[in-house]
Parts: sequence; C-alpha cells; structure tokens
Amino acid sequence: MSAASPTHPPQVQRQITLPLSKAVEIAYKSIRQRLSRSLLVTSGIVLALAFLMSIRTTQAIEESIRMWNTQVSAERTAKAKDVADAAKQVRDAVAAANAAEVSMDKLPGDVQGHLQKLQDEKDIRPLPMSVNLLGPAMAASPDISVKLDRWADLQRAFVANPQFNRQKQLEVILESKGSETVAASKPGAKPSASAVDAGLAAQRTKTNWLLGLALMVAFVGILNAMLMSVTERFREIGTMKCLGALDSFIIKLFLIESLFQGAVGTVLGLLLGLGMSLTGGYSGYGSFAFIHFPTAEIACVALVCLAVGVALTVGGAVYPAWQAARMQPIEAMRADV
Amino acid sequence: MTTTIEPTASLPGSLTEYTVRTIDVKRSYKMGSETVQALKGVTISINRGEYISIMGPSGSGKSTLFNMIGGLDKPSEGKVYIDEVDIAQLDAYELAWMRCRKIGYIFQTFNLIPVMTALENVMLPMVFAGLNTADAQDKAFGILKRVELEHRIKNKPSEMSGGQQQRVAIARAFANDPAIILADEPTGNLDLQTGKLIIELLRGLNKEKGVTIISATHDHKMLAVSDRILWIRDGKVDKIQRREDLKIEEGTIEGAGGQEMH
Repeated sequence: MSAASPTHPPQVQRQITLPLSKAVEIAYKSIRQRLSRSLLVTSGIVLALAFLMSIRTTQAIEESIRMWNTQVSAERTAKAKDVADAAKQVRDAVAAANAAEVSMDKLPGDVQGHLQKLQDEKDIRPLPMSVNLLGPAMAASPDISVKLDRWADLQRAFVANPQFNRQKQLEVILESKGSETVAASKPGAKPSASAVDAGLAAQRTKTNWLLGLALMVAFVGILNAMLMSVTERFREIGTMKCLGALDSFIIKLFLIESLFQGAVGTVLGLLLGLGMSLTGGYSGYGSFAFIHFPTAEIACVALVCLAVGVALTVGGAVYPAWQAARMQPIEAMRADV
Repeated sequence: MTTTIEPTASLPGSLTEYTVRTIDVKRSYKMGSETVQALKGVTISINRGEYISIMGPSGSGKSTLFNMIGGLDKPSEGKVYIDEVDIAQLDAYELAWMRCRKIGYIFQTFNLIPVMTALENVMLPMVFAGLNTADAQDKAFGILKRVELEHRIKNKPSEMSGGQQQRVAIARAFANDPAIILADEPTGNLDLQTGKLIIELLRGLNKEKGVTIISATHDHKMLAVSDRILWIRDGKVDKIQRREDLKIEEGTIEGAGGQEMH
C-alpha cells in the first residue's frame, strides 16, 4: 500500500448538497419513530387550528345567514310595498266610483270576491269605504277590474314565495340571538339593530384576541417541542455531521419534519374545527346553517388556516433547526449527553 | 518542538506516507475569563496503515488532540495535515467532504441513528457521498457481511446488543473507504469478551484495507494490537512506545492496572 501512495497531496473536493428527497425520507422515518413527540407537536397545532377554523367558519356561516336575511328581508319589504301600492290604487279607484254612486251589486262576481279579499288582507288597511256604496257605474269601469287583477297577482306572488315565510322564521331566531348578544355585551340595553351590531363587533374583537393568544400559545408549544427534540438529538446530529452532513441538510431535516407535523396537525385541526362549527351552527340556526352554507368562504377560511398552521409549525422550527445546524460534530464524541 | 514520532522502520520516510501530521499544534480554550491550554505544542506523524493508540489521563489534552486529528477541531496555533491537506484551510463544505470520504468515526456510545436500521445506518455516509440507493445498499450489505451482521440488517439499533451495535458502527465508519478510522474508546461501553472481538475486528480491517486506525483508549487489550502507543500528558507528547517494546512490558501494564508511566 505504501508504494501506491500518491506523490502529491490529494485534492479535497466540496461536499455535495443532497437532494431534498433524501431529507424528506430521513425526516419521515424520524417522525414515524418518534411518534409520541410528533403527537405532542401535532396535538398543539390540531387544537389551535381547530379553534381558529371553528371560529372563522362559524363567523362565515353566521355572516352568510345574516346576509341572506337582510337581502330577503329587503326583497320582502319591497314586494309588500308593491302589494300595498296596488291596493291603494284599487281603493282610490273604488273611492272615485263611490263618489259617482256606483252600486257594488252591479260589479261582476269575481271583482266582488277580490274586493272582499282585499278587505281581509292583514297587510293592507281595510278599505275606507262601505262596499255597498259602490254604484252601478263601477260595473262599467274596466279600470277597477284591471287594478284589482294586478293587486291579486302581486298578492298571490307574495304569499306563494317560500323564502318570505322562511325569512320570517329566521328573523325570530336572529332576534333572540341579537338580544342575547346585546345582553352579553351591554346588560339592560334594548336590543335595537345598532345595539346588536355593536354587540357583535365587541364579540368579534374578543374572539380575535382569543385567537391570537391561542395561536401564540401553539407557536411557543411547537418551539418548545422542537427545541427539546434538538437537544435530545444532539448526539445524533453530531454523528450525522461526522458522517458528512452539511449544515443545510440538518436545517432541511428539521424544517421538513416540522412541515410534516404541521400539515398533518393542521388538516386534523381543520376537520375538527369544521365539525365543531357545523354542530354549533346546527344547534343555533337549525337547517338555516346548511341551506345557506357558504362553501366558497369556508374553503377560503380553510386555505388561510392551512397557511397559518404550516407557517406556525415551520416558523417554530426555524430557530431550533438553526441551533441544530450550527452544532459542532464534536458533540457526537461526548459520552455523557 | 516537542517529541517527533519517527515513522516505523517498515515504511519509507517520505512525506506522503503520513496520513496525519501535526506540527507544533497548540489549542487553547476560553473558560470564562481564563484561557486553558489544552495542547501545548504537539508534533506527531502517523503513518499510512498504522494502528495507533492515544493514551492519557482525562484532562491531558488527549481528546483535544484526537478531535484535531479527526478534523473536528481546528488548532489555535500550528498545523494539522490530514492526507497532506491543511485542515485549517478548508471551508465547511470541504471539511464535510473530508469527514465523509477520508475519515471514519467510531464512538464509545456507538452513535447509530436510532430511527434507522443497521443497513440504513451503514448506507447513510454513502448517501451523503452521493451514491445512489441501489449501489449503497449493495455496498452496505457487503460491509455488514464482513462484520458478520448480514442477518441483522433489518434491525434497529435498539434491537441489537452493544457488540452488534458497535459492529454496525464499524461497518458505517468503513462505508466510504476512508483513509483514517478514528475510534474514541470503542470498547468503553462493552464487556471484556465483546471488546476483544471488536478489537480483533478493527485490527483485521486495519490489515485488510490498509486503513490507518487511531484510537483513544484505556483498554489494554487495545494497546496489545497497536503498532504504536502515544502517551499524552499535560498537553504534550509524553512518550511513544512501539509494540515490540510494549510486549516486554505488557505484563507490567496489566499488572499495574492502567498505570501509564514506568
């Protein structure tokens, strides 16, 4: 062997950077093996994300219900006004006919029926005149007939619209919720619309604070768990460095490990949070929660939550990973770790 | 300059025959406000294919010298050449390459990666060296066969005995055909019989592959197979013994229960 020795110093090369897939492979093995620690990191993120998801989803559902209520309520008011306007026109026409002393008996049968219904309708004030004062001239008036037909059509459309009925039911639920909100934020205040809005805004601020706190606690938890994981594996990291691992590889290893845990934890948290908000929505609004389910908004919320969850876990791993990477390979030699 | 180790008679004295050379290496550490001199000028040359043991009480600077030779630490003063390369000149990438290809490490505590099987542990340095998985698998299997562990390749370290773990660690150290094997108390955590087998294995591989083996040890069985023994005391080379000289004194060493000086 001595004779074959080189006569000039051998070249030193630069260590190659490994493909990401290798780091992924090793990180995956590491998580599977250390399941209990992984679960610790994961459970923290699951809970925090479930909270975030449930709050945001519930808000989206309530928002959507409220929006639907406002929209249908406006529509209902407009339609009721149309009916009332039509009724007024009939009344005016009838009053004009009365003045001309037209007899009601001379009116065609269907017009009489319409008039009777017009008087029974609760939404519309009773006719201000006595029907039997209608003179015979009315029979000749096609104007009243046309106006009555128009009114009857509007009235039918109003009564037949199922949305208007459902909106009335929802209004009851919302009113009770509104008075609860007002009672919670300002005891003794009257549940007016503005008071309800103010109460909701106060509630929203409070939940945002809670959310921020929960996410921060989760972040610190992840940081702590990852730091523990690094400390626990000092010798392992040192050994890897002795075997030729670059700093960047160690960083990748820890970040990917964290990313895995973050992704799994976040998805579990999303599902849990969604389940919680659906249950809560159903108990609060009954079927309204599902009929006006804001799918697009909730998908958006889920994406945001996913980003937040992954950012939290990876962010929490940056410092520990950096600490692991700058560790000296000598640490592997220490027998007392 | 302190004591210089002359190459053994069997090897010619040209520079390239040395795998490790240190020239007046000093190393000081800052301990709070105090500066501690761990090495006070060590000049040694270690031959290619030599089996050398470094001995010394704790605090003697033995570990510091050992780490220096292994490219794990850089000297405060002086030069360390590994395979004729001045390690102080290397950047992080070159040092990593050196550790990966030129040096194999064996630890007292085995230091296998707990999440990996025996085969994966041996493959790891090859993966770091850029070998593809199939080739690495074949090569790792071959080395594991050499250390007689082909039946345990699928086992995790926790499922193996200390001796088996150390054999996997030896296989891992040989993964990239290094020029130097650094063994830090390789028998320190093993019982007598197992330790003996490990020493025999190391000595066998040393002869077979012509690899230089440098070990820090307290184990006298280890000294018996060493070509030379380097005694470190108080940051300096205290004395160097050849095996021929040692054999005469062997009884004395064992009888004296680890006493280093005569």
